[in-house]
Amino acid sequence: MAHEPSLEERASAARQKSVFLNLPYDARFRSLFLAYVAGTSAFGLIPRATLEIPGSARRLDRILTLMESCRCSIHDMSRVQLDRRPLPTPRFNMPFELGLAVGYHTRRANREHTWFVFETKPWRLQKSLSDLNGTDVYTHGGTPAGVFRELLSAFVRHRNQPTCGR
Amino acid sequence: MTVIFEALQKNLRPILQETGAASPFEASVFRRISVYASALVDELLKH
Repeated sequence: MAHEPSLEERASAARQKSVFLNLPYDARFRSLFLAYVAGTSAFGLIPRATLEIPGSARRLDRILTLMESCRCSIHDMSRVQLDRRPLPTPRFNMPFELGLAVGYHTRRANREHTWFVFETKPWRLQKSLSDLNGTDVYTHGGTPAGVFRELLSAFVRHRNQPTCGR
Repeated sequence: MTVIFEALQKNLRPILQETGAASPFEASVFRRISVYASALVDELLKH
C-alpha cells in the first residue's frame, strides 16, 4: 500500500518549493513582477507574496508566517527613492522584510531559509543598505532578461535548470 | 523563462478582466498568474 504523506510531510514538501517574492507593487514594475513569477515558476518553484495577505489580518504576523512557509526569499531593493506623493517618503517595507528574512535565516539552527537580494542599479545598495556589504547583490538592470539572467545565477545549484531563451 | 514571461504578458489583460482587478498587484490576479505559469511549465516539460 502506498505511503500517504502526512500533513507535516506535505507542508514540508510545499515549503521546499515555495519562494517568497518581496517586490515593489507599482505600475512601472509590472514587467519585472511578471518576470519574477515566470522565472521562479520555470525553476519549478511556487511564488508567494504579501499580496496574498488579507487586509484584516495583522500584517506583520502574516508576513512572518508566509516567510516561514518558504524555503527561500527574493528581495528586490530597486525602490529606494522617495515617492512623488505628499509627503515624499522612501519605502521601508522591502528593506524591513529583507531584515526579517535575514533574522529568520540567522536564528534557524540549520539555516534552512536562503535569501537573495536583487537590485536594478549596480553599487546602489552598497550606499542605501551598507550593512549588506559583502553580500552578493544580483543586479538585473531593470529588464526581464536581466531578471532571468540573475535568477539563473542565484539558483545555479537548483536541480531544475530552465533556459532563458525562447 | 522568456516563453512563460511572454505568455503571462499576453494573458494578463484577460486575467484582469476575468478577475475584475485593476492591476496585477491583487491577490486574485497573483494567484491566477502563478497557477497559469506553473501549468505552462508543466506543459513545456512534456514536450
